[in-house]
Amino acid sequence: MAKSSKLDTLTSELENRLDELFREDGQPGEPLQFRDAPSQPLAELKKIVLSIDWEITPEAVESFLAQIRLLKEAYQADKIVSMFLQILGSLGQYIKSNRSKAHPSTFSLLNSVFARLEEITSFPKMRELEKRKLLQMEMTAYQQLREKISQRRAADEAKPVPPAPAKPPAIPAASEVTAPMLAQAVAELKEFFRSEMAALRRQLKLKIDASR
Amino acid sequence: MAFVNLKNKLIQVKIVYYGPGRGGKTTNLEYINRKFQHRINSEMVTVKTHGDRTLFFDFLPFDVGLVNGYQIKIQLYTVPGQVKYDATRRLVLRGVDGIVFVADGMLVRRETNIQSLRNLQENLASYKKSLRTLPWVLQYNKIDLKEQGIPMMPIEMLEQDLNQESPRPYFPASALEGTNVVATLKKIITLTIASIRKELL
Amino acid sequence: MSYTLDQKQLDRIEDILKSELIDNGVRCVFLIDMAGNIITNLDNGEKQHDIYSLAALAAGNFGAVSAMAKIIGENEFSLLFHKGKKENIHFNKISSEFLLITIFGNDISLGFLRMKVAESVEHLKGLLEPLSREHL
Repeated sequence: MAKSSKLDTLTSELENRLDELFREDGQPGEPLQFRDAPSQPLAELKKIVLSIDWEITPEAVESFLAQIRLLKEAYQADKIVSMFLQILGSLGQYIKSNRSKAHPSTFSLLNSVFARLEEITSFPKMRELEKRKLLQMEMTAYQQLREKISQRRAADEAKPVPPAPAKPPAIPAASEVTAPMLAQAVAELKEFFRSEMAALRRQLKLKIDASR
Repeated sequence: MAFVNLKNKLIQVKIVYYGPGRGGKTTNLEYINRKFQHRINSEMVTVKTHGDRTLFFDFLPFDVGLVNGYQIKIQLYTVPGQVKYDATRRLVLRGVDGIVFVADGMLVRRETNIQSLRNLQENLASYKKSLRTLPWVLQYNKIDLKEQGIPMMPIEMLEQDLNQESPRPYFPASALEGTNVVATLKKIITLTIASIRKELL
Repeated sequence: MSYTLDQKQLDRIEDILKSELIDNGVRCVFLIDMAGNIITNLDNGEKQHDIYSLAALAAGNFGAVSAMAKIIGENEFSLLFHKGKKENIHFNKISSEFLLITIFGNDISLGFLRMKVAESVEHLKGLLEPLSREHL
């Protein structure tokens, strides 16, 4: 009898302990969700930028440009972010047009512009002044790259070699950016690329005709 | 595979010291390294285990100097002798032009010498090469141990075990003391360069 | 048995390596065979390495990694690259017998380097393949 009462005590204690452990607190648990969209807006672009750092394939460059287009739409209202995307898009086009003839510094610039953009988008409380400062830094670096490309082009043109890589167009200072300026810059960029592509097509045609 | 650079007038040949573990291959290179510092512009490369056994290879570039208008650079390698490193030995043998087989003269190592030679033949065969056609010499190492009373194999035994088929030059040696280390090296270099002599002319 | 490259061939090889790689910021490039012999080497004049030891180790390294690939069922790895704090080293097979080794700093992205190396290899293949077939 004593034994069974001991056992009873043990059992009930155990049951109490178990009840405690698995006590329902009355609130339904969070249902499992599979998130479709990334929680961070730049996650997809980040993946592409990292993969380009590792290996530059035509597919990666196309995905990059496609992603930039999507983000431009999403961030239409944000001037600073739009400018960043503008620079990235321009660099992407330059890489696409020139591939292995692109200036080596293009890729480190791509990475740093993206890193700044990531900083800005992940700190929504960042002051406007701070954001402009970051944009200005990248634009300066962008201008410097253009300079380097010009110099290389000049050196190449001194020797009789195939056409030097196309230069990405100038972009105005961040502090002066206004919506109309932005629209104009976009239009200028589009015109620039259209004329560069036409020039390339003409040169290619000349080469093909000459080789016949 | 020896490379002849006609632009710089440079010939590079690869000589590998092969043999059973602890037989004296690395010691040969260490002796050469010490003795010919003026001909060796770089550090000897050794990839070793913590226990000081060769893990990957030892490497020593040896400049012979000008011969017939060509600079001759000998790349000396040793292989790891331990049985488990067979894949590595095969790697190091790639492109070999001449071989020094360093046999361990101790009686207790008789069987390992024979196995190591067989292993060499197998690994060469994987590159469609053979001891019948490659320049090679034998070194019967550790003769210094005889004085210490350690049972050593007589030359005849070693010759019978390792050098029966179209006998090659052999050198009783002591890599530790340097006896015949240079003579071995000289012979293998001569034989190796001779085998590619048509490129020199 | 041996193989030979003459002045014209070596000049052509060096031109390719200089214009595609050194002029694009690569610090040092050397072309070797799988035995560890150096066919040619170029650098940007900044630092001199012990290229003979590097060549021996590079050939050994590449050989070892190729053997590992076969063991795990791969024909070969498409990337062999070692990243350092300041200097990095990249290996590329040109044919069954030749390797292109590049040493570069962090100012060049790996992606860009791989693109330039691939281009150089295409140019070099034509020059080196006949050798591979005939002699090796």
